[in-house]
Amino acid sequence: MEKALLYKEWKKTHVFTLTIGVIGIILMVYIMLKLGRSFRMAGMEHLWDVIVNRKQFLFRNLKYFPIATALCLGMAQYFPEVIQKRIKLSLHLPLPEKKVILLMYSYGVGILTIVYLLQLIALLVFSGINFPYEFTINALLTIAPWYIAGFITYLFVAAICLEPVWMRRILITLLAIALIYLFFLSDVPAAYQSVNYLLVVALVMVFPFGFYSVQRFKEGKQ
Amino acid sequence: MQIIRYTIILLATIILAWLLPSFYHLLSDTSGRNVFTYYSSVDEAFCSIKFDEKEDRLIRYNVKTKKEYSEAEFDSILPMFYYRQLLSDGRFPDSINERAISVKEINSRNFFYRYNAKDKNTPAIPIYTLFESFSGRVKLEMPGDVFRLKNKIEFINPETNRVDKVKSERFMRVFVQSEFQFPAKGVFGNPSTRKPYDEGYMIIDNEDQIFHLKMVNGKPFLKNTLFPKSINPAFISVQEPADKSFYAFVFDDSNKVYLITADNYKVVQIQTPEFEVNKDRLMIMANPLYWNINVISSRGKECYALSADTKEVVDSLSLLAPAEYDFTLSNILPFELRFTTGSSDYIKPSVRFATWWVLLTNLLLIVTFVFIGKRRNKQVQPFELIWIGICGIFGFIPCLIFKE
Repeated sequence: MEKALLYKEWKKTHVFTLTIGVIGIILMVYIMLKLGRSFRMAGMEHLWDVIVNRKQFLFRNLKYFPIATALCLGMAQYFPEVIQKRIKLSLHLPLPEKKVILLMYSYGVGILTIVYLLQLIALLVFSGINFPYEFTINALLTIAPWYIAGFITYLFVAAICLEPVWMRRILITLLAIALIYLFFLSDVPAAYQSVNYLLVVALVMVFPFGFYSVQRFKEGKQ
Repeated sequence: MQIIRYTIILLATIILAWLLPSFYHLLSDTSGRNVFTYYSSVDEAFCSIKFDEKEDRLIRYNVKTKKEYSEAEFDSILPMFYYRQLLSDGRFPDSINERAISVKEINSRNFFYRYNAKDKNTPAIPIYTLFESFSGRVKLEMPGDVFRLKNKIEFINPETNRVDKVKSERFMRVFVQSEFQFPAKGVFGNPSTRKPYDEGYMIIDNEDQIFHLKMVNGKPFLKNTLFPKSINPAFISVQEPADKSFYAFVFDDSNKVYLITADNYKVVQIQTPEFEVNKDRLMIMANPLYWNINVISSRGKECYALSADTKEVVDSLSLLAPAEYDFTLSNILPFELRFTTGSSDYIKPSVRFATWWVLLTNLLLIVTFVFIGKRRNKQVQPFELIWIGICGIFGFIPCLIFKE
């Protein structure tokens, strides 16, 4: 049953999933080619100087990729469920509803984790070859809020789509926009380094919001 | 499911405590007073410029005597600041108050130094560029490597991303032979080629001693500055002034400022008005006769004039505005959550609480909440009442809109 449910998610979103994966890889290749060009044109010493002393972040093109992919995947996964009321069918399966939602979550979060990990590995390898570990640590601290924001975006999309009342949807959307904006307050590399754990706490807090929406859906809130 | 609803309310409260005061500040904030002030070596008093809105013109005046000057007169009153204009007009004096003065002296001893708390509170990659300080060239050139310094010193070649073992060992030997105690607590320099010469780095070791590191003819130069043990350095700003009279400003953990002079690393305290290293801005406008020490905070500006030779305070000026009372921030909004400040590049939450009177507002909100609950025939939960009692308007709104 679980496998069938996951297969249903795959059937529903495979075009989006593959597109996200391909765009993620193309983006990393583009960043590496662009940086390779900078290495040749300006030289590594100049580039290192720019990174350290002028606080330029070389992987800034990644900034909105996590939330954009999370938004697309979440919409692809949950929007049809709501529009066509298919969620009713899913919730009537001989599985606890929490498990059904958890499986849907697992699929989305799993896909995002794979795409994000691919990018992370590419970044680690590229940075490890070209820069000292201090640069790599700084890069990881800089991108961490963007990727946590990606997961939070996905969870909010699920909660908003599954929520049955329009007014509540709008309010949760406003809450989501404000919370995600909090992850993009600064362009200074590693500005969030002392609060990254708080962003993880926010992620944990948002995780169950979808279950609450489903509960309200089941209770027939209008 | 109730716990999830409480979590939504908690998150919405945090967001409102951040956004509502931010919007309020957008509507109500006014700029602090940071007018131009300079200590006149002719009048021996602070002079300033203010804008007269009635007459729609700038008024240049002596702050002590209130005497007003024309633009040309003002140039003459502040010859150390407007010396280029005076020189251009052929009005530059030979002496000021019987002290002979020359443009050459002004050029070498005038300097501007700006410190912003953001200089200290900013995330940095611990990789440093050490220039050749005795290259014989007019222009500084990139050295072709960078170094890291924590438990040892290592030079890395950016082109290969590999450690230069020979150079690293050469420098490490000097560290081992000195009294330097690893790990290094802080490394401070001025890694720019846009300066006349290079004085390298000031390094705080594990015992709060300050060492001076330079590269001379490719060889390491490391010297203990014998900085007083009673002072705990928190931040160092290395300077390369034209007259080579000092190496750096040192800020300690009790908000005091010191100067490490080029006279065998002699340490001189620089008297400043009340100054918070982690919040305020400091500006030093120095000339051969006086150093203008300005501290700019959220409340305004305070100035000291120091004798350039003795560093003793000769005059002071306070342009602090009285702390403004804001009814909304004191009585309506129970607290204010901020993630960014003008004094730090780090994103960090900070909270500012209102006065106790805000509890009265919170009580009114509780009564309103109970009243609305009764009208809508909805049960009021103790959690909601406690939450509104603590968080006021920030708790009231989410409790109301996320009510089942």
